[in-house]
Amino acid sequence: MIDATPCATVRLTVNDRPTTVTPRPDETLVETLRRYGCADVKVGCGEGACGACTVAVDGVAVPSCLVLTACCDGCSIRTAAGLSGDPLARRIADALVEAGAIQCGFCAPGVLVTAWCLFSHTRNPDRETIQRELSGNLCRCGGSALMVEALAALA
Amino acid sequence: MSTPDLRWPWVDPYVADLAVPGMVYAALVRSSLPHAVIRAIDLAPALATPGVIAALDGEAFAVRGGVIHSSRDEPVLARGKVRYVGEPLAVVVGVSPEAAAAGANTVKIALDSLPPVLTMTSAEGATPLHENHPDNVLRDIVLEFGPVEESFSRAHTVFTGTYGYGASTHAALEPHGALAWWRPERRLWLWSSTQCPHLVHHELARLLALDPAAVRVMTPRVGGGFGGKSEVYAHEAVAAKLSMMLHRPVRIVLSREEVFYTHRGRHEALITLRMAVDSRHAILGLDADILLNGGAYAGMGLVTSYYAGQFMAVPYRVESLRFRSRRVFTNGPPAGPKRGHGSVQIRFAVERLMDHAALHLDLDPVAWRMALALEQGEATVNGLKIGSTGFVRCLQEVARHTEDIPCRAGEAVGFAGSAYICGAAFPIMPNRLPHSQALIRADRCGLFSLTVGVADIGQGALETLRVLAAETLGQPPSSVIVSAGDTDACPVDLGSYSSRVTLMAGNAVIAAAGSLRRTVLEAAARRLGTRAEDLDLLPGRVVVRDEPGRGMSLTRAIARAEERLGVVMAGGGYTPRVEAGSYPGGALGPSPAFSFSAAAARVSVDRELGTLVVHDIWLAHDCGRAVDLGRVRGQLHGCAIMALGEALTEKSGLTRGIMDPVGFTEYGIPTAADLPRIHAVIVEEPDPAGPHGAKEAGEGPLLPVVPAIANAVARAIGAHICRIPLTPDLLLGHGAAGYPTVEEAGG
Repeated sequence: MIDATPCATVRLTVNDRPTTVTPRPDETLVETLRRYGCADVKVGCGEGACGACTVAVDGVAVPSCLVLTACCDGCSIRTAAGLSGDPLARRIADALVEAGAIQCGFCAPGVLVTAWCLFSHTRNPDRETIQRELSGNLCRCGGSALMVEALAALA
Repeated sequence: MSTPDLRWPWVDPYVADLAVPGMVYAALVRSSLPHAVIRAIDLAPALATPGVIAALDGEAFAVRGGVIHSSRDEPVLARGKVRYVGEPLAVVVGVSPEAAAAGANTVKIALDSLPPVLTMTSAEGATPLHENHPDNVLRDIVLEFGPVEESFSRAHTVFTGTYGYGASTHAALEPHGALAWWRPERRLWLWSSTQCPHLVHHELARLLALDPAAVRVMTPRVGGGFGGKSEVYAHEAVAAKLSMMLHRPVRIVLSREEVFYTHRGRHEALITLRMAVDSRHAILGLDADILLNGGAYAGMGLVTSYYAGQFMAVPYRVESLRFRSRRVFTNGPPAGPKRGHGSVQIRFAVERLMDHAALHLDLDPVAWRMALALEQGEATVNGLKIGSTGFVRCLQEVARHTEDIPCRAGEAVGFAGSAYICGAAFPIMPNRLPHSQALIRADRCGLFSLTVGVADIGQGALETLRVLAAETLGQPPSSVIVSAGDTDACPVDLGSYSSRVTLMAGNAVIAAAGSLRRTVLEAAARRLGTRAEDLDLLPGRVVVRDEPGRGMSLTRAIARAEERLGVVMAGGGYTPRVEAGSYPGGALGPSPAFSFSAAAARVSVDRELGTLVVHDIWLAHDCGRAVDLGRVRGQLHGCAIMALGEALTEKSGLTRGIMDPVGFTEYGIPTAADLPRIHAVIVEEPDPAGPHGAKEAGEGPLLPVVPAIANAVARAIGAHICRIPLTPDLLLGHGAAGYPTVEEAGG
């Protein structure tokens, strides 16, 4: 769980691989993850508004640019690339692509994590819930309506 | 790169994901004042910062940048003066991004403030930004076509309105970035998030005084462009220069704030438009005075200045046309090409004034537009030739879908129409060479390897070209592999701008694939003892047309061709065969083909709260032929949503001389929770100039959406709407510019 009390040494599990990092006090989780090699976690705005850096922290979708790594001791983190073997994630990715919702792809890893967290917690989310959950993931190519359509059909 | 994998989108790297051993990081130092003389730049504190290995200021670059040769006014790093807040002044290189940023923070800059020019209406006559433009006007353009004065004198009614269009920015989700590597063999490699690798290639060579043959530009995956990645930027040039100095790879990735400063977004515009209508409701004349806020530098602004007037008439028949267009310099980030370059603002003005006229004349807004529609084979009075048009069908579609919609009080449906180019007929760097080239090779395993120079920025260009090649070869798309994004390995393509790729690169691909098809069939014909003309190329097989049992596998046919020729390959190029107008600026506007769109929007307005809800957008677009239905639909959605943001919530402007906002939290891009229902309708009216009839779909569909929303709002509240975006104060009736005037003949 993300904890308000920061730690100097932080134990993380990133996509099932345990690791220990010693972040700067002001280091955000997205910086840590990208340095760790998670290039699938994208930086779009750095202020929590676009959702390109969304990762699942203990199963909860969060924009990793708003989380301090020092507050993540003991957390299990899953990024989009860490979902490649997951059947639910595969279904979501297929549905998004078949709907023509993915264009430049820069938002896609974050969208996938958000949708995967949503469907992991809620079996059949309604359209309004899907819209609300996806509202934290900007798609400038304009795929949002098609994403909602695709995910609603999946529910 | 190859056709990107969309299912696992993290597999293909973007520029920020690239790393080269020994790589160092650059950070730009930017101006904090909108207009000032640079007294001194002290790089010493930066060079003393731990981890910093180099720093440069504007003195390192001898020549000015600018992709249009006649208006090169932009230093790579500011020299002598700064002209907008956020203008790059210096660059610092560190062994880590943090070290570079820390060093950049210590650079001491002494500036002597000058009076800034903050609004376009105050620009003319204010302190000049550039010595060679004492009036702050890039070029005062006046063009007249047909008997304008006579048309207006014959008019039954003359409508006049003044329209304001707010600036907005592209906000592609991937920030700009570049990785430069001066190689031991004395060649420059540059990976960049760009729409125009060809322009970057040649402009970078010029800025660095290198032979273009010593420059290699590569595009990894690009996370959106919308026009914002079509020029050559400071970050690309400084990374290259520093790599040459340090003999190390240098990477730079802009922050979101820096992307906002880089801008090149939609020009703010103020347009006074007059329209002469005769007693039978034909449009006799259009006359516009167009003022564009260009920001501090020219960029592609000359094109914008012409486009702003040149596309005024299409898609309608108009007897005469006149415009005066002035793009003024102000102390803000440079404006530039954003989706629908230059034509979005004038479209808003024309469609709004037409809707106002339709109400006044009691005309059905759709039927009137249909009656005015240009037909196939016609040309506009300024010489834009219409090779095909599905405009009436687009209008029919949006009318059909909206005819039974009941509207309550405060609710209404608005309509608008538009047309857009499928590539500019003349290149940015003037020459008569092909605009697009393609190479294709048949492999003995049955694969076709297509190589093109286009930049896939997310619009699906490579997939579209793959389908066109496969169609020409009679094979499934999966048998064609596309490679692009490397100026060393790929033939030339001018870039992903002006909606040119489907038509121009598509035609080059069809030429190459058609030639390859003949080569393979000829080899098979020799073997089969028949003529190539008597053979058909079917998926995986060559057969004799009249003897379906006789033939050979495709792989055998390719193998036979390899035996004869050594390698089985073909090339093709495309050069537009379109005449320029014989007047100054006559090269800006003509296109091999025009796409057409129509939109309807259903809105409701709460006049007490000043709130507006867009419930539905119907958007019909004539793309000639949908090469890839899903991607065309995706483009229509993208245009509708980008237009929605532009019409309602997105606004770039200056607050006390500072670009504002500079982050996504305040900028107001529509989210999944804000969207209307979007009804995308694809109309196919094949164009003889298009590859297998295809036309563009990436920009044109944006054009009618903004005025359709505004027309709906005007009808819903019974008031004139003459400004974009539709902010609450406007809906509450405050801040509106003047009501349009109507003059009746003899009255």
